[in-house]
Amino acid sequence: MSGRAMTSPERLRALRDSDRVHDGATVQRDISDRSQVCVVGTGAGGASVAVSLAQRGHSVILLEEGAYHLGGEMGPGPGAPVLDRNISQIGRTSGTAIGLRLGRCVGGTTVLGAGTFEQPPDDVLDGWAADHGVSEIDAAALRPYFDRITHDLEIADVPDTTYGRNAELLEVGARNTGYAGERVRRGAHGCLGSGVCLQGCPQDAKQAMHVSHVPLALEAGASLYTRARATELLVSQGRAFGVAAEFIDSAGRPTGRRLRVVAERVVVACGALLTPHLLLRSGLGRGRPHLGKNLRLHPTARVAARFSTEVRGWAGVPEGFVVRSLEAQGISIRSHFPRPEELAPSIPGFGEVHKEVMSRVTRLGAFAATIREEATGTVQSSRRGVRSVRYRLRESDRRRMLRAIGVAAELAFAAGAEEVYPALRSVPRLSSPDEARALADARTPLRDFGLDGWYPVGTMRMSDDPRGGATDSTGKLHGLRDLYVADASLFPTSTGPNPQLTVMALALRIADGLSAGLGAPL
Amino acid sequence: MVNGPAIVVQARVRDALDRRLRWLFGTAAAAFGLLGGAVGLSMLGLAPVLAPLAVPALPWAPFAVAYAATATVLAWKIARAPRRETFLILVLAGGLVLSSLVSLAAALAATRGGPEGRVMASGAGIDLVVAVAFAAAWIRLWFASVPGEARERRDEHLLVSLLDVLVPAGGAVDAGATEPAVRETILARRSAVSSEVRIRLGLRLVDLASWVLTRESFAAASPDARSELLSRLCGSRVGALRRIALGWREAALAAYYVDPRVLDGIGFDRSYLRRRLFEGANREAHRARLDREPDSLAGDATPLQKPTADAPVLRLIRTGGPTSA
Repeated sequence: MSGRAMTSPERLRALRDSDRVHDGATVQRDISDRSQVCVVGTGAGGASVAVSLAQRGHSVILLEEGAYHLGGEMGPGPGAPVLDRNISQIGRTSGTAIGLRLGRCVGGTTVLGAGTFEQPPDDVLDGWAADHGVSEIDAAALRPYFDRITHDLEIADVPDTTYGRNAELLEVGARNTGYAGERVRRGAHGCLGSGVCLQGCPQDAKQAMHVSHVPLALEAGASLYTRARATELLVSQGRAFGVAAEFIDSAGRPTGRRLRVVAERVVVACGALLTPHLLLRSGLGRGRPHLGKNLRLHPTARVAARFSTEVRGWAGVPEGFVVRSLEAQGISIRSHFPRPEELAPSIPGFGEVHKEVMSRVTRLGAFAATIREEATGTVQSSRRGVRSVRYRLRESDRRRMLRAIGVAAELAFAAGAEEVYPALRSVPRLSSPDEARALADARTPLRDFGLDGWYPVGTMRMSDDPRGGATDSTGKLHGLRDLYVADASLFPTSTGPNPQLTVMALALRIADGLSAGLGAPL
Repeated sequence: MVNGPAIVVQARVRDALDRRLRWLFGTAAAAFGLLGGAVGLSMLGLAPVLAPLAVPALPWAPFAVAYAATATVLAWKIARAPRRETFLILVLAGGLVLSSLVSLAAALAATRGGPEGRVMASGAGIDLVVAVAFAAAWIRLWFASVPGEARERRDEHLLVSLLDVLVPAGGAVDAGATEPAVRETILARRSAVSSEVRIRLGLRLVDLASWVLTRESFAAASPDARSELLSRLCGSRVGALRRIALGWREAALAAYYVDPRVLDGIGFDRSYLRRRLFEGANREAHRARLDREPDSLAGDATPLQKPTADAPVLRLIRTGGPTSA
């Protein structure tokens, strides 16, 4: 498997337009299909399971609710495809309002990410084994998978050519304050630093799943149904035997046509918010108290700053440098420059003052402060969709978030910032490092924070003890045969950094186990 | 931009609302009819089994039968055409409130702690709950109905005054969020996550908050007063108000700063992305896109327009996308 082989636009289009891919919006009749494995979701987990099994000769069917878009269609503009879900399709968080952004397209949320691949600290993975009843998954066990993915997707440090001034400023700030950090590692062969990763890579350089594992799986014989919304898992006599889905049109409305896939094994990889939803809709919540619980979101605040010289934050990759010194304290700071339409809401206030700040966008830099929270939440579901996400940050999280924002502000001042905008409604700007340090003791209420949930994890957590988790160490749902989960919902704890690499490693491991138990291909 | 589907969605929501209202009032008509029938039969001594239900004795029983009959007829008329008979919904709800009060008075006058008193009190409670349900149905219908010219203008003015506070005209970019194209984008964003009813209700809540806190309409207040109020709402302890204010803020800022003409005005270099797109592996596809959508990247965008005082009323979010004009 090679990431380099997948960057040919012609090859990607040929596979996308081949008879292996069925666009649900154009299906004219109900369809029944069968395979050895049916995988629901084409994100980091689902695509990795699919490619691993397909390359071993197993028959695989992938289901994806979204459409299949390639880089030639992507990039900001009124005609650009909608790649993400809106909040009504996800659910609102109770308590502190936290923005959630999930992909709804082939490739899932990997299409909307910055292309960052990070390994979790060894002690986090070792802790899963030691403290959470997870067997045979520790740093040493996953290392071969990390190495394999790193090789196949050509993951490397961000090069100088696409590093960008925004990342340079954070690096300068870290050096001047004594915080240790490093360049972000990305899988993005052929990246030109377009700076629009978060809207989908227009070059097909970022190794999101739709240009890496999904086309490789198709090449190895897998089939893909797009615009196919899984509605129910088919379960009988203690085992899962397939998936029922409805086809939808480009507006997301059911077309009236349905899909039924019968399979020896079913793998659900819809992400930490939607995987429990599908299982709950299918009536699998009874007797599984951990299903849908233990949600962590990794709340993140965007801290902007005005510098005396030009930054031109859009020139380069959105994420270039990350400060690691505080990760043991559950804090991570990285350079993160979004498009102006995403940057503007993260700067507190409105009106003339806000407009004046944005009028200096050429001199604005932006960092993202992420915490590993102690709070956990619950995904609640109803038949019509994920209705709510019960999630309430704790006082300890509030203090940690303030400290994280304060550190980000300190770093900005150390890099030469004149003014910092700390994403706090009641503290719209900071004028000095002393004010930044004083934030840690501020009594700012949670409702004043403008936060996004960057990495939802944990709602189907692993534990070999059914009393300790919803799935076992192989990803199998407790109490039901032949149903597996392969996404970030498996995490017993937060990993801190971007979980994509860990999800893919777990998924490959799960695929290894599945392959061993499957018979000859159909 | 959302094109067309919002109209279809609205029509389907109306059908669902119609069905629910017909079911509600049809069931109410049946229940009132049964009640009247039971009282009538008991009055004629034909249903002694109903006696424990404290059926009112003469001379009150005929009044009870008349009340039940009237309620049956009203509920049945409403069930046949809920949208046409909105006034009757109010009449019925008012009658139930009155009935509840009468029952409560009778319960208090009845033998203390006796079964008759308890049944009367329960009846008062039921009447009140049903009255509240009918009032809620009326409110729902009112917001879902096609707004008249006056209501449309009022909501329009509220919206414009809100957007004008969020991103005013002037400064680096002459036009603000009330510029027609930007306004349409904002409404498209809001209607993608909120129904028309919720959007109108949200605007009215902002206006109500203005009346409560400043004793004047939001639209009539000075820009400074509106700004102060909006800032308070963004930090309000009342979650619903905070979400409304922050939702409009997010939509307005995101829609404003995605507009290529605004980006040009603040010095954002759109040509950087264009150069990258034309260098990369998909350059042919991106060139073709630029030909089709000049405003998406770096075309000759038409200048932003300042809204004039006599700008035509915009259909609020009926289409959820570009106006046909």
